Amino acid sequence: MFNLIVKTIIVYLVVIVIMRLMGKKQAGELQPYEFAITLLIAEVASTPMDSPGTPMIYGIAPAVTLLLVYCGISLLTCRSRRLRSVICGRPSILIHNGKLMIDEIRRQGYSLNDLLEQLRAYGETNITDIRYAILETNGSLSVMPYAYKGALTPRDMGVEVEDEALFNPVILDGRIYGSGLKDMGIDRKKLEKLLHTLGCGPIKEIFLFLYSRCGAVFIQDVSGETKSLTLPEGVL
Amino acid sequence: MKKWVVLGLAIVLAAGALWQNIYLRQFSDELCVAADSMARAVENRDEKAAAKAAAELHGAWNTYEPHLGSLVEHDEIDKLYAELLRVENGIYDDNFDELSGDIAQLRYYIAHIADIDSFSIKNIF
Repeated sequence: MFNLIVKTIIVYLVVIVIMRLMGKKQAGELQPYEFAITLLIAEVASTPMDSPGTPMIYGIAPAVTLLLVYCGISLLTCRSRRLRSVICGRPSILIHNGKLMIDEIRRQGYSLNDLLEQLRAYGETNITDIRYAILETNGSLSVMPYAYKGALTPRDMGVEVEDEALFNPVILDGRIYGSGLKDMGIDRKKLEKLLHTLGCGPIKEIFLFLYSRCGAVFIQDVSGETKSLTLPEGVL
Repeated sequence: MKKWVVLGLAIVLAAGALWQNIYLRQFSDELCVAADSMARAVENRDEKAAAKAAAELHGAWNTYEPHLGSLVEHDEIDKLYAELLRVENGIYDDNFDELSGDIAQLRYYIAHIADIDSFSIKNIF
């Protein structure tokens, strides 16, 4: 039994390492060859766990081999467009200039219900407003409405706006987040003083403290009370 | 960094597969030689030579056995070891009539271990 526990932990760690080496894309939308490899890795890695008499190597070696195959295919598909279209397929246009491409929809076996569902997810219900709806090779649908349906942007209005700075966590569930504090350029004492000035409780009572370099802060304490403000210059 | 890790894994995998093949072939060859000399001794009804060959075979088994568990299915190892013990008992009990068959079976199991992972069309399909 202990062997099985250790085997399971090792296999789990190996699969994590392999998925990390495959990159972040694995966690999101997958190309067909990525999907197949992910399924296979899960299957082969579990072999030593299923049968206690099977050496670990019977699970790890195929999993590592699949990783190498994945890296090889990724490299080849990056270099050759033709190979990429063979392995990953090509995007298909399902809606063009406000019209459904019936033949293409049938060829892809894409149900109209699914299509309408996806359009609703994009906030589009009227097909005539859509210039392009493209079924991507990873199975996701990209919807591009006509320009007149697009949202008005500050650029359209000729208004200059500043980019918002990224909010970094400074306190997470009552614990100071070192890099966030460093980003603020203060130490623990100064942070406690700042919280006191802002009328907040001690650090352990702060559930979330976010800070952006432009001086904006968001604070929520454990009781649920929130504060969102911009720190005046010179406070830090 | 990632590229080097993947490259390292590829090298380890290839080297590991090669080492496994060599190790199992070496194990199989060494034990088959001992099994053959045991078979000859049994054929000649030479009890002493058969016991000596059995001890040699067991010694070789003890040398390889620690690594065998991480390379081969445990069922295969258990089957082989059980057969080895049966042959040894047969020699000590002077049960020479049935020994030839048992030794042939033992030899088959030993040779089979190296064949399981040898790179061949038969093993792939």
